[in-house]
Amino acid sequence: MPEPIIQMHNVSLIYPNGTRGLNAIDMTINRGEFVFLVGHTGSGKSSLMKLIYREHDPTSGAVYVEGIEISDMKRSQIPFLRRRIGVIFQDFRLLGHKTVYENVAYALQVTGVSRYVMPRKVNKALTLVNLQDKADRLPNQLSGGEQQRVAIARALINDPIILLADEPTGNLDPDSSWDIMQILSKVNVSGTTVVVATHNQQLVDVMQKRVIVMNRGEMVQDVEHGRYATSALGPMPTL
Amino acid sequence: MASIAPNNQPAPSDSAEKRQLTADSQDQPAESRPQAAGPAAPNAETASASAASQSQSAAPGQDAGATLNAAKDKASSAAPESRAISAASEATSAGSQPAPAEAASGQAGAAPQHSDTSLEQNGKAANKTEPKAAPAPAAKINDAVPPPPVLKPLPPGTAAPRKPALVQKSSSKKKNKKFPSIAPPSPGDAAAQAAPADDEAPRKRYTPSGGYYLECFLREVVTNIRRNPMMSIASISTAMVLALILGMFTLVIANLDQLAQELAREMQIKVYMANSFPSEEAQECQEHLLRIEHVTGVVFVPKSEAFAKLRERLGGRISLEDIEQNPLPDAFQVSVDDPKYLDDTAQRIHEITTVEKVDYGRDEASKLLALNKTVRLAGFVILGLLFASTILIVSNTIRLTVFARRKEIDIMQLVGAADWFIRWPFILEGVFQGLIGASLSALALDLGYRLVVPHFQRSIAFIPVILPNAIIPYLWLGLTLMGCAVGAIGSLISVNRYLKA
Repeated sequence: MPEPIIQMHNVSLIYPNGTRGLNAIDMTINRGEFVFLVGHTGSGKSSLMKLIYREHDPTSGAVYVEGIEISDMKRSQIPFLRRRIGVIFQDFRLLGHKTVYENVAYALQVTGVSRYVMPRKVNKALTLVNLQDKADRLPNQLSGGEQQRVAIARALINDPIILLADEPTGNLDPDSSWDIMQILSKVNVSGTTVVVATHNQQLVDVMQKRVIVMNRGEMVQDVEHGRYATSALGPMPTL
Repeated sequence: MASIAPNNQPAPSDSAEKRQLTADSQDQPAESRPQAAGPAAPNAETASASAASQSQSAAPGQDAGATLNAAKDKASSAAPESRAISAASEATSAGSQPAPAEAASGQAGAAPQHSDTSLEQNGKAANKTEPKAAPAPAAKINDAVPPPPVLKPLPPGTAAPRKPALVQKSSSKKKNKKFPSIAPPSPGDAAAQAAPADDEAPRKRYTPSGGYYLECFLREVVTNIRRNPMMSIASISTAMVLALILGMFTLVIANLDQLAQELAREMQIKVYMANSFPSEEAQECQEHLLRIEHVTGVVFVPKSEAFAKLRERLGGRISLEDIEQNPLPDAFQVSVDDPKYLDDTAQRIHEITTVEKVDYGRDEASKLLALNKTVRLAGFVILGLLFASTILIVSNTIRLTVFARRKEIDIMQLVGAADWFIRWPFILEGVFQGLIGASLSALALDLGYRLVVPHFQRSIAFIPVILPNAIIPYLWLGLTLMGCAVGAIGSLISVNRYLKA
């Protein structure tokens, strides 16, 4: 029973300096799907994701998350949207002066959760990513894979409906990358919709998930059990 | 074959729970979802545990896929809440290994190639078994869950209906503030009350008060200062130095002003009577003086009063105990309406016989008037400039410290923190820093002034210095208020700049 959870309807994004980020994108992602966004740098993968958690507003068109047009939402509603969406990045984006525990707990604190419940939930999330014994380390004392796992725990702590991963394995070695992808697929199995933008050809080929290919701001290909088909990507953007 | 058998076995027990779940979700789709997750969680656990026990005989890889599937079906048909963590951990408990997918790969040796194949196997198993598992439970679920909103492109100009789903958290907190007995009874309720899902219970019953947030923010402020002391020290020392300068100048100018005022008071005509003047005739003399043209007021200062004043002025520096007779004469203080009549009036008064001396200091009077004005004006200008520079420099320092943390503010916004949740710790930090800096400077000024004033009084006994107790409390009040205000406003403006961006 496909239930659309992200829908983009004729979405275009033009950045303030004139560059065209996205060009008339029509896309539907259903609940529980695992989607890869592949494409060259500048093809619009990150822009697409930014629209979902409303980092940017589309210049035209509408973006729907769980049936609500988020491009029309008031600015004050954005935090509530972002609590339902977990995002992880290539550069991890952890709060550098907070410990691992505090980083994950911060995402919970913003929702006003009682401090008696917090330890339990935070420890549960940390156990999920296997970092429960490093809970009081600072991010600069962790390896890249561990930092990304902290980011995942933080993204998952509020039970999000969507998990967005913007090049999650970009800074990681192959083994850590594989760990991360396993965690993401585990998360997807339990019902969260996962969207991963990546360059990593090997991972895309192995996971056999839906692949959306982007090129220069347009959706070029949308394959159900796709592979990272370099032919569909089109030529490299001129540097 | 092995893959089919374990799948069939969980199906009957699955449907039983699914029936219960559909009953729940039919009542109130929005609100009973947290409750549906409650019974779903323990039930799913038992079901997957039974599935696990049944499937353990078969090959581990494919069974892990099968239990994965069963868990996925259960979880997706249950609530959107508590999926990621609780269901995933159920899957882990069912597989009794870190992760079912990892379990398959772990048994194969945890090499990527092995896990490739097992993941593919799982995918294939999912493809194979899903059509078989789907029909029985899925049919029931489809009736229960409300159909997803059908989205047609809206005609331009219509605003999309604002459904409460996205703000469900806050409104559901308010609605469910009372105990669940208020909600209409459904089979899920009893289970939820009996074994409240630990994820959902606090969201229903606990709404944090302002005090909780305040404590939360204060704790964060203290932690921030402890972990990054240099930035705080920069702000505090800037505030302290500037407040010190401002305070010093305020004291100096206040004293100068009072001196000028005091000297201006001397512009009254002092009429000193002869020693033979009988004090009883003071009243008559006063009336006589008043009748002189341009005289506005006459004050009789008997010698005793004059003596007392002198003693007070000297402040105990010079002992007056051994003077037996009061050497001071009776006097009148005559005020004139306009300083230019001083001369004239003084002449007239001098003609009175019992008047011994008339004192008014004419040139000095005009000079003093001009000086007084100048002092006042200069004082205000200097203080104004100092005040402005204090505000600018302190808020600039605070702006720098906030600028250094702009990435953090970005991350906080990313995680879904409301604007006020981000702002308040910064504001409190600014207030804290401004307060500490201003207090330190007020303390220094307090001690310094109390030390300096006695020296002044000893060396130049007749200069009217403002006594410490008269001015120091106002200094404390003014400086601390200014410190708090500058800190708060500086932080507020700086943070807002990074919130909008």
